[in-house]
Amino acid sequence: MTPATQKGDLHRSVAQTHRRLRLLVGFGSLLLLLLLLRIGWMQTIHTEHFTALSTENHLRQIPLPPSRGLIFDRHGTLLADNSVAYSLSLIPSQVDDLDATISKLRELADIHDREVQRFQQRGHSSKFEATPLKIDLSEETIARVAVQLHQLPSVYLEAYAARRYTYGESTAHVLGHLASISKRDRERIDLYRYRGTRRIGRAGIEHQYESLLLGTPGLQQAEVNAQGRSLMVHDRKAPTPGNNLVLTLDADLQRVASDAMAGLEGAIVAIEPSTGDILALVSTPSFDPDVFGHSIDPNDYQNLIRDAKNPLLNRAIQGQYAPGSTIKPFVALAGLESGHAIPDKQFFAAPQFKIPNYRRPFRDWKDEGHGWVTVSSSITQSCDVYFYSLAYRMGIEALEPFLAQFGLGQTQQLDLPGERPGLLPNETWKQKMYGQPWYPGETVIMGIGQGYLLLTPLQLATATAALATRGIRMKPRLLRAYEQDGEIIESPPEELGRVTLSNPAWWDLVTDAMVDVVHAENGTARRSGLDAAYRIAGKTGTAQVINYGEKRPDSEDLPEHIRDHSLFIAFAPVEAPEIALAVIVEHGGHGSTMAAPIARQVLDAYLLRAL
Amino acid sequence: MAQHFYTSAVSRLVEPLDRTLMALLLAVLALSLTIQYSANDMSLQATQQHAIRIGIGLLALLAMAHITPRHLRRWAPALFLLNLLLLVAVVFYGSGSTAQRWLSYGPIALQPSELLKLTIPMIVAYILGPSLPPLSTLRVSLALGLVALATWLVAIQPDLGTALLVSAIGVSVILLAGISRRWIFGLGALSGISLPFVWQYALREYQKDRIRIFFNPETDPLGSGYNVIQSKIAVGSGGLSGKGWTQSTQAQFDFLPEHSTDFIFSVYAEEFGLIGVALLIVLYLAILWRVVALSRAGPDRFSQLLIGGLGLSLLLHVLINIAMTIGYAPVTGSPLPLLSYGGSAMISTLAAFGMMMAVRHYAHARHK
Repeated sequence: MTPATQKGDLHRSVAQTHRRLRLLVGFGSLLLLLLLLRIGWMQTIHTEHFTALSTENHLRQIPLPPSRGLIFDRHGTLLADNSVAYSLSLIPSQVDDLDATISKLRELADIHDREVQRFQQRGHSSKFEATPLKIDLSEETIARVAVQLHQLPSVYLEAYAARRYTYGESTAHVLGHLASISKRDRERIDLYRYRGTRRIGRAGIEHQYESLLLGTPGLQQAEVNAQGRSLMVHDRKAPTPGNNLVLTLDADLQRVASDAMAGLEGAIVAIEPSTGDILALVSTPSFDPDVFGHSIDPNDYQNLIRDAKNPLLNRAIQGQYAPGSTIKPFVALAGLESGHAIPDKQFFAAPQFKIPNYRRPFRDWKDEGHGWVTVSSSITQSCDVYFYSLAYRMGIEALEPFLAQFGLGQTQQLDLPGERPGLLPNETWKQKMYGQPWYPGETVIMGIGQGYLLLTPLQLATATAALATRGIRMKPRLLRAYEQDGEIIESPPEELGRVTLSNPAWWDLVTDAMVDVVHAENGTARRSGLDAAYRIAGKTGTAQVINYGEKRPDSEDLPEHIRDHSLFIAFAPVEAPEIALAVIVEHGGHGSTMAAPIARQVLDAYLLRAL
Repeated sequence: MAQHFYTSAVSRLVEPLDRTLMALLLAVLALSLTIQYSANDMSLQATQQHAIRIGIGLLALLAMAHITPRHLRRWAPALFLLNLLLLVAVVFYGSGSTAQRWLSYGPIALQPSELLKLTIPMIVAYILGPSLPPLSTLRVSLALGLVALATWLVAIQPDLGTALLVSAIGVSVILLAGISRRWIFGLGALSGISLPFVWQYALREYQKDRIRIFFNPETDPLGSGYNVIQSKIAVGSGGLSGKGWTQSTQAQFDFLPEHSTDFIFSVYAEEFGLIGVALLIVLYLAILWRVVALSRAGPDRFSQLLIGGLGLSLLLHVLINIAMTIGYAPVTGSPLPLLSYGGSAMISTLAAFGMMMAVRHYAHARHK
């Protein structure tokens, strides 16, 4: 090869190399322009999407939970309060080794296995939020953890408002309690209002007036860095606290009533007849509402559920009992109104009552019978045969509608969740329920409050209150007023309806007979009326738990769980009734021995203020 | 007289410099200082540090501009060998947070893998320059072997991103030298076959993760995919005109990691928007095509391959880094030339431009 061709080759090669370079750089430039195109698309058409993400990144809205409304009784005594408690919380996503951290924390605080489980379940769904591992720390634990906190990244001592109930078990059934917001709650609540709030009213007043008590969350807009630490607060809107509630309850009376029921199963409902104000509503056994808030042992809750005595059942509104003889004043009124009972008309009460063509006799509780009685003395002595006869003559078609006027067998629209209606049976109901006609014998036993008839203690109390008001039925209520923006908003008493009699004197007749029950020589509850500083109108009741047929054994000889229920209804003072009540003691035996003395205690407490 | 001597000395000193290229470079460096001030939380100290590195880089550029291609060619094997030795030293004495990439001596910390971006084009040009196409199998094999060796030394640091870049640079210079189609297909087939083996045996789990995340960043928004997601948010939220200088919320509140180094482009795009991005890309393209123009009249194939190789290296860096910030390339930890914080890359990039200018200048000088 000559130098010339060599040089030519070199020239050609240099030109070729240059072409290749242009090709490669050209291709690269094209790719770069495509990237520019893509960036242009991101920064124009799609920029809003990214701007939103960027804002979301660094501006965080931190909800400020409102403080829950306080609950007071009618005299301004605090029933439910908020206090500061501390929880040990973790942000799961920020913890490298969760198990190690938890076991380290368990050395510092007494953390139960179930609490760890619950944390893990909760932590799974809210990885980026502080999730409590243990709540309601003791002061000692707080101190121990606080010292170690610098060694425990992403572990926080969080302050939160804990609910405290001044009267504990005594008001547990009325006030209810708070619980963690469940998945089911989430579906029905306005999540916006619950931002920052962890607990929701689960039962009782806490549940009923949740929307009044809750308040409105505030909002703090803060600039945060990638670690979530707040750098600067931009904007702060204070939360609006929940409304304080004023209940109709009398806290001291409530306590007296629940103390009187200590160790017993049953209920007391006390009402102010003129307003329908519930003065006391007790159901025993009760439970410690703290179990739901800040229990030491999560097993407590399981124990509550498993307890055979069912402490979570609010017997006052959910317990349904045969009223026994406490129904007699109402049956008497029904008889007077329908003309089947005539005042002062003598009636011979044999030891038993027989229906024509019916083999089985209906026996009186008094083996020898009451002899000559009137409608009044039948109430006073609680004569069964008189009322068998009266009910039989009236028939269910007259008796049932009259009793319905008193609201029996219906819910009373009390502002407390879970109220049950009881049962006031009639022919239609029987046909529908059993596909059978109504038998006259069923009317007969309904005359003494047995059979299908089932009433709640609340119904008995409101019906008794209607006796006290001579037929004016006030809607029972627990909320008397609430406080909004410093103003007290009273809710006026409401009338549910009126029972009118053709002759108003019949109210006096029945009331007088009930006064005799407590104060007369032959009254069934005379022992409970001794030395009373005021006059009481009452009626005892003994409700059979088991049907023994003809021969009724003496209740005191039976094992407790099949012993009769002991009932008592009353209102006082007779001249100007301030309180009406119903007391039921399950398996308490005779109404006069168990329920009546308890009623007397409650009446004394309220009327004499002998607290 | 002294005045005249002084001006002539200065003019002789700057004589090899290409005015157009210098103007473009200085424009990008001005942007670089501007954005670094912002990305470093308006720290004057960090910005000053960056300015000093730019200064050293410019001095390196000036120095390299005075080295004739002949000298460069003569030193190429020795420089490459030295670079390999430094890489070996890194394996034994290196430092770094997750991988060993730096060699420290007193206050100076050197990243030998960055130097490869200069020495790889040099050694490939040295081997393939003297022979005209069709290139001998021996030479191509030797060039490939050396590139593979350097790649391996970087990969075991481990620095997969730089290793891939180094091999891409080496292969692109080989392509530039004009190898036959047989080689191209052969190499393509070889890499295709070796891919599963590399995945199985050569890659560490975190490297595999990065590649997996590249294909689906949302699967791990707080882990490996986090960088890309935050980077895209930064770029996209910049909009048309940007949030304004020092107004990047993504960088200032630490949502965007590595925001002064690998993800500096994202901060730039967030603060200066599409207008700023277009300006920067136009500047890079102008620099590239000026380099292409410089190589046009390469006096010999060595010089031409060297300029072309360095130019392609720049192109690859820019492409991969920008693509990475919008999720079009895996997060490899490679800087954006001239913009990112970091001395080794800045100095070697500017030195490369010095080499290119020298080649151009002495080619002209010889032509005259």
